[in-house]
Amino acid sequence: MSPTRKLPSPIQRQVEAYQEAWMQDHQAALACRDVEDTTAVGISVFQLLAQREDSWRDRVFRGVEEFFEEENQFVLSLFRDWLAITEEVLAGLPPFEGQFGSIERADKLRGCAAEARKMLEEWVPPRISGAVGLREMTLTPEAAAELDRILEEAKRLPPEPPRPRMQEISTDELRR
Amino acid sequence: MPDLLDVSAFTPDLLLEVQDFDYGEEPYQKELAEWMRNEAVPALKRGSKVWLYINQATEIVGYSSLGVTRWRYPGPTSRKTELVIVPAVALRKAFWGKPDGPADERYSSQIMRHLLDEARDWSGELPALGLFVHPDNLAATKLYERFGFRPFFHTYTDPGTKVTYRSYVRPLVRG
Repeated sequence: MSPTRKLPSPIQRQVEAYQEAWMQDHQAALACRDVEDTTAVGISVFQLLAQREDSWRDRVFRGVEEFFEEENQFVLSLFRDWLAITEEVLAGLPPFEGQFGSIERADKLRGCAAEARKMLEEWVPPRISGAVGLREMTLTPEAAAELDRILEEAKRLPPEPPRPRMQEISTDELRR
Repeated sequence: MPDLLDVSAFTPDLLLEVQDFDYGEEPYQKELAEWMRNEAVPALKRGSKVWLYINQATEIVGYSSLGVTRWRYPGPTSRKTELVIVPAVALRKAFWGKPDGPADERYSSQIMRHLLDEARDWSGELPALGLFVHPDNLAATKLYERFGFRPFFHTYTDPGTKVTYRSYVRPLVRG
């Protein structure tokens, strides 16, 4: 027999099988890590969108920014696009969860998707506050000086004597 | 024995209970009904607090609210400062001037005292409480002045309605 063997020995075949199994697991683990990265990015993007939406709503509510329907449609489209992508990501999770037990932060992403769905279903465009007091305003120089005087005065006022507070009741008692 | 009010924090699920309340026929009084119907919930979402007041006969007599506004100082820095403000406060028409007896025990006075207590507890930046009043609302103006609010130089003209609201400010001593 030739000393150089062409066929792998049984032990070599065992090593290769072992390596193959490890490689499959390794590839699956790498894919799982990619999915976890995607999940984390999905959550971050949703939080970013929610912050952006809240900031826009506040500016419109306070009268700092005028409401435009185009902007409303743009914000809506951001959430719709995010949800469409996220639905696909979520649909791909069960095989990984079956293999690895759980995917990090998958439940959080599911929660974000549920929140986005509800938000889109119940969407009400922002509008300026009807109570003018809540609108952001610029003081005149006279008003600014008067406000400073009032604030200085408040520092010198004696504490107000304590008095009994109004009794609070549960809202359950008010429901029809 | 005075008819002391109880207070309950307003939450969106209570909207049905306060839909049909009558706060008067004047346009500015109708605005107060409109605020409760359509503006209270958005205001809650933007950090305001809203309360309902209940008399001993368990009737809701009115509501009040507090929120934070931002006032910008004039000049190149345009420094912003936050002030606690009363966005809206109203007593149902059926309870105006009630209960009979001293003014200090009326529902309107009890509501004002509660608002001042809550404003003192608020962690706003400035030791003052502000509000805007419709120029025709003379009854409210008298009430605010009785509770230490003073006319302030600042006015605000609503670009939509062209109504110029007058502002009042009261110093607050925090507890």
